[in-house]
Formats: sequence, structure tokens, C-alpha cells
Amino acid sequence: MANSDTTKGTGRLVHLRVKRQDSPDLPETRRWEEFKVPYLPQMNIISALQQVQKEPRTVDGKDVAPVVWESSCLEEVCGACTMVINGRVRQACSALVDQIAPNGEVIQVEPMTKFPLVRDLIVDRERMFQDMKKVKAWIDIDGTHELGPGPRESPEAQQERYPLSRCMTCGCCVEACPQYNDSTQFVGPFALNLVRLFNMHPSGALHKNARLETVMGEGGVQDCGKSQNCVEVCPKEIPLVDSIAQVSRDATKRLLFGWLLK
Amino acid sequence: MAAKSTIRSEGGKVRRVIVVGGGLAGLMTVIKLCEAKVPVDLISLVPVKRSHSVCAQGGINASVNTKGEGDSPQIHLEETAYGGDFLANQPPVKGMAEAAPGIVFMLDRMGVPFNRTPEGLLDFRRFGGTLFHRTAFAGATTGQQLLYALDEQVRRYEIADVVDEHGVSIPGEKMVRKFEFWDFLQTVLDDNGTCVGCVAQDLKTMQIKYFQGDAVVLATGGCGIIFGRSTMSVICTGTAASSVYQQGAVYANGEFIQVHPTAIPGADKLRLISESARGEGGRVWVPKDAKDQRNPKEIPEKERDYILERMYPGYGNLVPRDIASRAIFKTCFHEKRGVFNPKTGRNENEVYLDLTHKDEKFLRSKLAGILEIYEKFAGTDPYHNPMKVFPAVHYSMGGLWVDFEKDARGSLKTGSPRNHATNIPGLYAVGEAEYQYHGANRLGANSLLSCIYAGMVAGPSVASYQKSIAKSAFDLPKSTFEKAEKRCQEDYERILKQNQGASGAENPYKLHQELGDMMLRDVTIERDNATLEGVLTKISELDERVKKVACPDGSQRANQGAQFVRHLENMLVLARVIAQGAKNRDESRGAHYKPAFPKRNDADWMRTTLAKHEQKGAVKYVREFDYTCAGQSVHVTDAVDASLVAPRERKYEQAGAASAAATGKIQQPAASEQQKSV
Amino acid sequence: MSEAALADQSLFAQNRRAFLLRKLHSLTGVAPVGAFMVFHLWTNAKALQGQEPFDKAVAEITHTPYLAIAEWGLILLPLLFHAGYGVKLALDAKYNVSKYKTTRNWAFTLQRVTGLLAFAFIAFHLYEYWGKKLTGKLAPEQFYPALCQNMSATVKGIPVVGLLYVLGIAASVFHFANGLWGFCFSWGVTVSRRSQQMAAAVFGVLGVAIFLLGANTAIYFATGSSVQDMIFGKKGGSDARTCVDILQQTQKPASVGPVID
Repeated sequence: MANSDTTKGTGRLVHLRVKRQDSPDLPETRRWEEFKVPYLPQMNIISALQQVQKEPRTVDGKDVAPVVWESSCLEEVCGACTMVINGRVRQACSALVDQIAPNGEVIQVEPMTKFPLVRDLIVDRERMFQDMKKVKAWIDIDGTHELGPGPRESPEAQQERYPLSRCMTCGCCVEACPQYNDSTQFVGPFALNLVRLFNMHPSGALHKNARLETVMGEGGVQDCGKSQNCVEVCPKEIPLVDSIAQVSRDATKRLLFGWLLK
Repeated sequence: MAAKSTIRSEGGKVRRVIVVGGGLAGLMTVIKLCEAKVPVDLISLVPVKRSHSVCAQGGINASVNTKGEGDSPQIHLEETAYGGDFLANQPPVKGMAEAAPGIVFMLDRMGVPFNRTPEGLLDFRRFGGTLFHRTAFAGATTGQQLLYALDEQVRRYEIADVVDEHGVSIPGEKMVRKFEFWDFLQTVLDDNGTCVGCVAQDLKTMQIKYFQGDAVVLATGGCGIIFGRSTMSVICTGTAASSVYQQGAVYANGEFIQVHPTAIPGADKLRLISESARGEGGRVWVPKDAKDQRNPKEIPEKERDYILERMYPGYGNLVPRDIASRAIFKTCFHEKRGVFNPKTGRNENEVYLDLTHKDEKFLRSKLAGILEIYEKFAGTDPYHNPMKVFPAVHYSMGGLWVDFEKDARGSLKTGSPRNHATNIPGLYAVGEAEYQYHGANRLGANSLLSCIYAGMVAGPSVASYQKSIAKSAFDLPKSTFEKAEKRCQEDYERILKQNQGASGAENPYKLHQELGDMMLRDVTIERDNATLEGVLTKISELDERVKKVACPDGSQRANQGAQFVRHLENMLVLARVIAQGAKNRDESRGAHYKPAFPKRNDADWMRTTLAKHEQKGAVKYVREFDYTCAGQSVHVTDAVDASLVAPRERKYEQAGAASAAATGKIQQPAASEQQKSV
Repeated sequence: MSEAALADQSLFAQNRRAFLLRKLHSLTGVAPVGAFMVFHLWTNAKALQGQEPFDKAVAEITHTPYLAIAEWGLILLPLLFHAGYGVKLALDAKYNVSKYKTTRNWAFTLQRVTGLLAFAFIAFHLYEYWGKKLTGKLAPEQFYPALCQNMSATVKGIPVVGLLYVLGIAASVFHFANGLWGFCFSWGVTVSRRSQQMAAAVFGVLGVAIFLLGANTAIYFATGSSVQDMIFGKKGGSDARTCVDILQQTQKPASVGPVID
């Protein structure tokens, strides 16, 4: 049924340069490997890596284990396939070969640097999920039994909240953030954005202070260095800087006046 | 004779239930179990936020009737049964339709940013197979928003302590323990064939480990990757369902594979353009002149053939998916009238999906998520250019057979341990992994609903099952589990070692491509018995060749090669179930269409296909079987429970044909009750 | 943590320490440290009018009551805290401006680089004048001639110390102006992107003005002419002894660093 001609090659080759490492405890296996794979129409980095799986042989003719990477939806909505492509963090699925290497340039692919390496292009982003617990990124509902509709909301409020809610925990913002690293406990732009998101919701706002309190401690909103790289690399164009600024304001208010209002 | 405590085993261990899969169905099951005070181990192939549910775009159905159209759960039930060509058992569908408004309200309370009306109420849009505005939506990434909402609620339980009968916290024990990047391998069955846990593999360290559980719930999604490229995520291989099928679980209606009419062709994936594009006014057309080379925007209205509006004036662009896919397929394949490409000099397998007549701001507020995908992956601006789309494999209506128990009203009996139970005692299935709600064709925006509803039903069902068992899985001898673990370990070693260095060894990824290309070509929109015979021969050949596969990776860390070989072996098993089931069913119903048998044949085929695994390479189709649930023996037949909506011919040419209640023209089926108001 | 427990959260609770320190760091940068810098540069500008007005201004400061307390408590300690904590912050960051070359990322990087430069510059400057004043090696009325001589000293015709001062002032002023922008951001004054852009423009202009104010004095000490003198020509008028007079009186050393008594 489908057009099988999309799998036919055109003679054009795609040149990949992949940073690999077998395991975090084997730094001596860190290496660059180069692959040339047949070009396919509308090819992205994922399909290029899939071609490597079918013929795992480097340009030097060495047979190697296929490159491993993380991916799921392939339409930039799950956040799994984040990696550093030509020096810039992004999703591999939406990195189209025609756009990044229109004339057959070498495409450099590396794992993200801010998370513990698992192998090759796979890293462990568990810290992000832990930080979502830390900032209480949820609405405290009483239960899933029938309690009628939720609070009413204006279309404008929904249109403001929805983009914030599209964060897929992909890690781009923290990868590009100079403040997010081993020497800080910074929760990162995505987590601050979630604080704003849940503080905006009518029921979420009931626990606004508890959430603010979590980002007024170690690794909180104060660690933002205002480089604003986060908003530049966010694939979902979430207004992360606005979120950080808003949370900063709320935290400052709470610091200055919170104790007065006891 | 139930065990003394439901919290602790005799040996003092916390009694847990295992949920495999962290999509909507899995997460909802977890939440319901936690609310029933049952601690859970949640095993997921990927971090749960990356489950395939994120890909659902258009929305979730609920007959809230805020538009004053007279919509009701009864009509929702009728249209779902009708849309599914009367292959779904109706009591679960009734339960689902009735629960839908409550589910959407619950999600609303969880903070899902559903689009709103000016009055601040939930907004609803139209979807396929209905004339009502019944679909609640959050932009065009509804699945993502729903998944995140449930994920957040589960995260609350990750930090909640397990509490014993006296209300005392048990130190170090949390209500939910997550195991992400773990691949489900097999269930653990005790000597009586009861499921008492499972074996899974950590995909980082490749450690294989058993998990004890008083019950196991599979929420492992669909199997679209069997078709190579589809709209599904790369993780949707159906491996878990296939594995338990090989352990004796019955697989039902496997041949019903939904092909979605509108997707963007791609090398790695066929990306979905949601039905909501048509729900918000999108129109499907091709130029009347098959050789028209003009830019689509320059082709005047009267020289366009709006194929769906012409063929189905009643529902137009919003006919159910099987019908729209066939219409597009017919136009492109049989009539060769797909969009003409001057570069290649031929009519491509593409039709226009046109939204350019709609205001850009309107589109941005309601469809930005999908139009963004088109813009990013197809490289043209869909706000000002018609999109080019073609059908793609999208959903498996079939799946693991699961039971239900109905109440006096003909709906589901809440809390019955039979609901969502497979025929392996202690093994449950929810979501796309099971077959229950959609019959021969799923209506758009019913999948998110069915997943969440299944979780809401399965939670209490599993909780009552757990109460019924005499001995907890945690009190069984270790040897039961160690045996299973050892078996899985040996199988993994086999995959790593077999055919290494052998000449003529096969590459698993290439083999998968062969399988996928064939399944996509021969087992989707139109099916033919001679071709299917060829498919089965080819599957047998692939069964032999898969034995020659050499694992391309020898690493003991994050070995995706070994994982893929395992999944491929399991995919081949399900491929046979699908192809063989398609060959057997000599009729046309819903997504299953045979030009040689163009009519539905209720006399012979209004029945569920029940497949049982014999040995590798053989499927046994049964008409009935017995199984035991919570100590009770249950007799199951393949008859479809159509007690609520009487079967009739399915036609979408005329408006309102899908529901008797909506038109009043068709008599209400006798067994159906008067609709209670919501 | 329950809502009730939160209400009892003390301003100085242990878990708030990082937040408070960072806020204090940002605050001390603006006031007193930044504010003092502007005041200091303003006072220094009196040098353009000659030694007498300058000495008068210096004397006024020297005779402020509780000078030591003010110097230590309001300037030096805050400055030390701001500098010390700032070094920690600068070392904590993982710079990536070579990969992500946006204006704000440059500003982020420069903020830390200029912070370190300003730290070094101010330490040198304090040692040279304030330290010597404290140890009695330099009387307040000797400041003016010492400044003239030090800053006009050249190496191969280049007024190295003067240049160093211009650079030091540039670093400090950039750090201050960009710091004001950051202050507005992190204290929640500018929340919208638009207000942030406006703040950037305002503080940009302010920064340039303060830099000109400070640099002009340094140029004057180094060359004997202020920028306006160079453009509009020198005007007579004041009888006060000027830098030019001092330089004419003393023989210029060929190539020296700071003058040491």
C-alpha cells in the first residue's frame, strides 16, 4: 500500500561522525566513528542511524556494533531522541539531513553532556524526573472519583497555560544552560516553568507557596544565570525566560513579604 | 479463603501488583490501584512520559453535550458500536460511553489545559463517525497533555508511603516503584498456571530480574511496528502481548488493523495528521484532471474533486477512518488520480488535505501541534498550502482477549475481577494491548477514552482479584521465580551467541524491513486470499531465517541489538496471527476489507477471532474456551454481545445514520435501556 | 511539608540559605557596591577642575564622622562578600558561548569575566591608594599628584597604567550595568520580554554614561587632557593646579610602574 520508493536510494551519501563510548566506566573506549549511509528522501538523523544499524560498518571498513540511541515517537513530541548535533542540542528526529547537511557535509552527533552517560548516544535524564518531584509538579487532586468539572478558565488563560504544558522533559534547556552542571543543584528552566504552570492553575494555585518554597532552597530559581540559552534551544518554543522571571518575582515577593503575612 | 492481609504477605513482604507499560492505560491503572491502597511496581520500556500515548493528537470523546446538540452517552455508545461494525461487545462500550464525561472532568481537575469556550467551559470539536461536537481537546497534542496529567499524579504516589492496615507507614516502601528502561520478557506462572509475577530486563545494564506480583497488568500498547513504518512509536512492537500469547493468553481480532487516512509519508515513520484537521474543517481533494500540474492553490474550486464529500455527503470528510482510507486508496491506486508530480511524471500516492480556507489564527489555537509537525517534517507551510497526505497503519483494534462481567443494566459491573482479565489467571490487559472497545474499527478520539476507562475499570478489578487469592505471590517459593528468570537468561544468551561469525547470518533490522514491507503492502487496506497465502508462506520463510539471525551487538550494556532480535521474533508470531486471521475472515467488516467478499456477513462472522498459540509457526483459532478467574470457572464463546444496539448495515452516505437515537428514524434496540441523564 | 509548617518558614531558615545568599549578592552589587562606584567616579571627576576641588572633595570624605565604620561596613565588607561569592558563581558555571552565540549568553559570560577582572582591578586599586593611606604611606593631599604621575607613566610610549584603569573601569561598569539588568530580572521587576528589552536599553545607555564619566578622569590623569579638552580645546579659567602643572614640575621617569615613596 505505501510508496515503497521512499526506501530506494539515490546514490547520494550521508556522512555521520558519531561520538561513542561503550560504558561510563570505560572512558578509554571514547572514540569518534564515521559512517556513510545512503540518502533517503526527507531523511532525518534517526533514519540515518537506522541505516547504520542495517550496515554497521565505519568508513574505514571496520565492522562495529550498531550505534545505540534513545528514541520513541519520531515526531518531536516525546523528547526521547535529544542529542547534540553539530554542536547544538536538539531532537534527532526533527534534524533533517537536507537542512543540516544539504551538500553532504559531515554531521557530528554526540550525546548530551549534562547527564550521566549510559552508552554511545544514550544518557540518563533521571535527574530531571527527580526534580519534577522536588518542585511538586502536579495538581493535588482529592481523587479520581467523580467530583464534577474542574474550575472554569478563560480561553485566554488556557492559551497562556497550554504552551507551558508542552514541555516534554527532553533536556535541551538544561543541556544549553551554563548553570546546570555537576557543581550546582539547579533544577533548571523546565522545572521552573512547571512551577509557573501549576501556580497558574486555579487549583494548583492553592499550593502556590509550597511550590515556591521548593525553588527558594538549594538549586532554586536563584541559580538562573540569565544566559537565556534555554529559550533559544527549546524545541517547543516554551517561553521559559518568562516563566523564570515570573517565578523569580513570586519568590522575591514571598521572601520580602511572606513572613509579614503570617 | 483469602489471605489475611492485603498489604503484607505471610512472610511480611509488601504485596505489590505489577503494571507493565506507562502509557495512559497503565498510568490510570496505577492510580486506581493506589487509590485502592494496592502498592504497584510500574515497569516501562521507556520513561513513562515518552510512551506512545503522547502521539495522540485530536482529543478524547465524551458526550457532555455542552453545545446543546442533544448528544448523550447512549448516542456515543450507538455510534461506537456502529462505527466498529458491530464487532465490539457492547456492555464495555456502554460503560465507557457513560463514564466518558466523568473522565474528561477528572482530567480537567488534574489540570489538563483543555481548550475553552468563551464561558470558560470545555470546548468540544467534531471527529469522525459522528455529527456531534463530542471531542474535548488540548490544542492538537491532547494525548501528550493527558499522559502528562496522569504521569504527574503517579509521581505523587512515588513519594507516598505504603500504609498498613493500622494506618502506619512502612519505612522505605513507596506506593509506586518505577522501573523505566525495563523490557518485559515473560510472565511467571506458578504450577497451576496462575500469573504470579514477571521477568524483565534492565536495558541499561542488561540485568534480567524477576518481579513478584499478586497480579500483572499489561498496558503495553499496539503492534504497528510489525508493519515497518506506521504512525506508531518505534517502541510499539507488540512484544509483550506476543510473549504472553506464546505463554497461553488468547489473542483476539488480530486482523483488525486501523489504517489512518491522513499521514505524512517519511523514511523512518509515517507521521500522523490528526482527524481533528478534518474535524476543524479540513477537506480532502484531488484535482479533477489527473494530469493537472498547477500549484494546488491555483486550481479553482470547480476543478477539484472533494472525494469524501462526493462519496459520503452525510458525513463528508468525517466518515470513519476505514472508509476514508479506502476512498483515498481507491482514488490513488485504482483510479490513479493521486496528486500529479511533474518531477517524476506520475501520479503520486498522495491527496490534498486542505485547511487553507481557514483563518490562520483559528488554526494556530486549535491545530498548532499537528501543523507544526507538517511544517517541520514536510518542509512546507500548511497554513497557506494544502498538505499532501496518504493513509498509514495507525492502531490495532485487536489485542489480548479480555473478559468483562455485565450488570443488570447491561453495562460493566464495577469491581468484578473478570473485567479486563485475560484467560491466564492473574494476568490483566488494558489499552491498545487488548481488543475490547473498538470492534472492527475504532472511531477517532475513542482511543484515549478507552485507555483511561480501561485503567479505571482494571484498577478495582485487579484489587478485588488480589483480595480473592488464597496465597500471595510473595509467599511462593523462590524457585518458581528463579526458574522463569533462568529461562529468560538462557534465551538472552542464546540471542547473543547464536550464529556469531556464521556465514549467511541475517541482520535483524533488514529482516524486519522485509517483514514490514510485506505486511504494509499485503495486509492493510485491501486483502486478498491468494496474496495472504503468499504472506503466510513468506512468514514461514522468515521464521526459518530469523533462526539465522546473528545479534549485531555483543555488548553487555544497553544492547539494543539483542533487544531488537527478541522483539523481532515476537513480531513474527503476531504477524502470523494477523495474516492468518485476515485470511480466515471471508467478509468485509470495518478495517478488514476483502474485495472478493465486499459485504459484511453477520451469519458466519459476527464473532470474535480467538487465536491460541500452538507452537512456533502455528495458530489455533478456537470458538470457545474455559478459563478460571478468582476461583470461578468461566465459559467463553466467540459470540459478540450485541444486546444494546441491534446490528444493521453500516452506511455513511446519509447524515445521522450512525445512531438510532440521534435520528429517531430507526427503532431503538429492545435490550437498550432508556438513557439516564448525565 | 504542610502549608502550616511553611507559614512558619523563617526568613533565615537553613534551606533558604542559598536563595538568601544569592539575593544578598545581587543586592550588594547594586547597593552599596555599585552605588559607591558611581559616587566614587563622580567624585573623581572633580579632578578635571584641578587639585584643589579634588582635594576638597577628598577631605570632605576623609572628615566624615564614623568613616572607618562606613568604609568597612558599608563598602568593604559588602564588596568582599560580593567579590568572594561572585568568584564561586563564576567558577560554578559551565561556559558554552562558543556553541550558543546569543547576545544574552555573551552577556552571561562577560558578566562573569568582567566580574573577575573588576575584582582584580579593584584589589590593585585599593592596594595602591586606600591601603597606602591606611598605612600612612600616602596622605590624602598626595593622591592627586600620585595619580597624575602613576597614570601617565608610559612603557614604550603607551600609558600602561592609564590604559589598565580605563579597562578596569570598563569591566566594572559593564558588570554593574548588566548586573542592574540581572537584578531587575531576578528580583522580579522585569517579567515580560518587552520590559527586559527596555531595561537592557536603559541600562546600556546608563552604562555608557558611567563609563565615559570614569574613563574621562583616567584619561585626564594619564594625558593631562580630558576628552572634552581634546575635542573642544583647553579652556583657561580655574586657577587650581592641574595635572599638567604637576607633570611639568616633576621630571617624568622614563619607564616605571606606580611611584613608591
